[in-house]
Amino acid sequence: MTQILTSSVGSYPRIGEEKDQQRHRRALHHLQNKEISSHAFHDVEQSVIQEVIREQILTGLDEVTDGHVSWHDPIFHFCRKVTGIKMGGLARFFDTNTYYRIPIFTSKNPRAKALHTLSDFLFAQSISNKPIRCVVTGPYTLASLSFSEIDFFSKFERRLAFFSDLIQFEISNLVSQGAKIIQIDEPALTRDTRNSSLFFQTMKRLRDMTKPAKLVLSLSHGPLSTLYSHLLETPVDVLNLDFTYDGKTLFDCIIQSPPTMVLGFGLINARQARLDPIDPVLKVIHSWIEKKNPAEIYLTPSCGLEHLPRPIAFAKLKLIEQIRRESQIYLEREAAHAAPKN
Amino acid sequence: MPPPKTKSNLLSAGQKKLATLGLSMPILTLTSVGSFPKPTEIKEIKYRVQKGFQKVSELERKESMSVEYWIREQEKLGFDVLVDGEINRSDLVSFFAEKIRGFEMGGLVRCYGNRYYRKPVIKEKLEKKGSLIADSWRVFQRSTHKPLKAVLTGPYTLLDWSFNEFYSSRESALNDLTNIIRKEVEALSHIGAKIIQIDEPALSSRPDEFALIAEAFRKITHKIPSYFILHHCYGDIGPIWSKMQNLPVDNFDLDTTNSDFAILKLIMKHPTKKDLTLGFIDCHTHEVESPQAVYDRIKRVLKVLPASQLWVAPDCGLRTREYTEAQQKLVSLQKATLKAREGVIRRGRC
Repeated sequence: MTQILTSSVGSYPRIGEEKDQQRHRRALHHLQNKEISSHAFHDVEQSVIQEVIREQILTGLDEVTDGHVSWHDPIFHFCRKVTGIKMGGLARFFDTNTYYRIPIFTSKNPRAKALHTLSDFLFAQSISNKPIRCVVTGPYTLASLSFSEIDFFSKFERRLAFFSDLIQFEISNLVSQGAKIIQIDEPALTRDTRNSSLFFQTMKRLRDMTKPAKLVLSLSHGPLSTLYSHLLETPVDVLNLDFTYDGKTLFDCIIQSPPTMVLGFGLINARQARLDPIDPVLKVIHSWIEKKNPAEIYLTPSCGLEHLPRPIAFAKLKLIEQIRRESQIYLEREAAHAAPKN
Repeated sequence: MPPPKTKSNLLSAGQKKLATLGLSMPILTLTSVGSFPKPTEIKEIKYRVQKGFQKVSELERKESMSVEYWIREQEKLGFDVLVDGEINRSDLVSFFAEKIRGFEMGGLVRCYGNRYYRKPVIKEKLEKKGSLIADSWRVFQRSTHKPLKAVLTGPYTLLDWSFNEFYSSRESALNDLTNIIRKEVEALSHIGAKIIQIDEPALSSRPDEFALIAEAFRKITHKIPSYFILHHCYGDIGPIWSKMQNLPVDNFDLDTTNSDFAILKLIMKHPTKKDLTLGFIDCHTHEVESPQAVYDRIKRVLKVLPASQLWVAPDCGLRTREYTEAQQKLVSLQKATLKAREGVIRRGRC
């Protein structure tokens, strides 16, 4: 019988409605005004990571994330500790109402002084009894959304090569420190496929670095049906797809050309506050299981949950668990019907 | 002594329109985008009002005092077009959502860094309840002889920064929001608002929906005699820049310093006939730029844009800065503008 796994795929709201749930915001304000030390802020940040992991575990998810509590944004987070890249202006992150800082190359020899994700992973792992999905932004997206002041890095290929090395370094350290699941986010691929052949080459290199951990490619923030056929050869264990842009067409593509890797169904809309109706989600999952009988599938939000208020993010994760339960009941019933009678 | 005015033969199309409205602006018109920092006291009173411990009237009194303060500050610095500082707005969306029937206030979501806003939810058909900003604009305009910009968030951003749980299509929601903003613009024009700024930070989010935005602006501005400014910040307008030239507005107000003067490449490639309010102060850094640094930025822009088309401002609202930071940034802006203005008038260049 197909196993339905559930997971978060990235960010989680770092503040909530209660006063205590707003301590991250207050602490960051105090830090910016130099009223508290960076150590004091770090303590608050870790307490919030603990809180968001606890909330995810409470909903029953199989895999959780650190909620990206320490990330300024998904792009500049991976350039904070790099000499030779400066922080540029604010720009909008795809079609959301969130912003990122544009990384700007200023040197021909940028160097990573330290790792960007390891300490949060180690902390998250130490407090969670569920596996941590370690999320990194992919090199293709980082190269697409960065600029260069110098000629050398004005070529996309060179920025991609730099970020590919940087992300490999992050991943190899995460894996060597015990990370079991690595998720690479490549939202830019949904918007710009001009360099997609370079993307596949990069993914092959990253695949090697990730072993023996499970490698997830997460694609969100754009339509995927025209891109889908190119993804079939991607060397990953799990393909996590955002179904909120062109879900119906995407599902037709998947049925026509089923992938060899495990599919992650990003069917729960992480950009809309209303709780998703259950039946259409069940319909997609059951059709896939009936047609292909896969060993396992993932059910996830369409993207990180930070676009939602905290109580709604929590409710959406609970909804995912409810859908899993209903699916399992359905699958057990179907299996019982199919079993030969003595 | 009043600042020298632009010679009529050098007037931009926008300046000519202002002249028909009885407004004569100096070259390098000095203005602000919208918001200024609020005193901590107001934030505290607001919290107490929300909890029911204090009367709304006390909050309104303090807010009015703060608006008065910022108006006097701008006057002292010789700003040409003033703003009220948006002291009574917590952000650019929820303030309007609270005044429009059909919205429900949502929870807190993050935009960037440490900035959050309450993302409204569209629950029913959207209808105007009463005045959005016209009533307060009339009161604040009475307190100054300088023109006060009427600043309101545009329908596209109101839609894009909300959760939609009622309308089956974005077009129908946008249509109702456009009608609401149109009515407010009519009211503002009726009570004498000559300069109206519509904030659309979401303008560049979905270039494929630009036609919808253009239609919304056509409806909003149709046969309204005011001088219209469209404010956009922190997004890539490259893909829509040429189409923006056909929007029925007189002035584009754009962030410039934070985006490292990306606008200049666009102007060089596709020159514009609109007036441009460009940002010479970065609103997202605590560092207070020196007057010389701001002057250099103005000089850089004047190499590609005629002075007659340029208005000088910060990149965006200054609400995210500390009180003294904002004040010092305005002083730098004012000093740099006066120096640049003098150069343009004496030598024809900075």
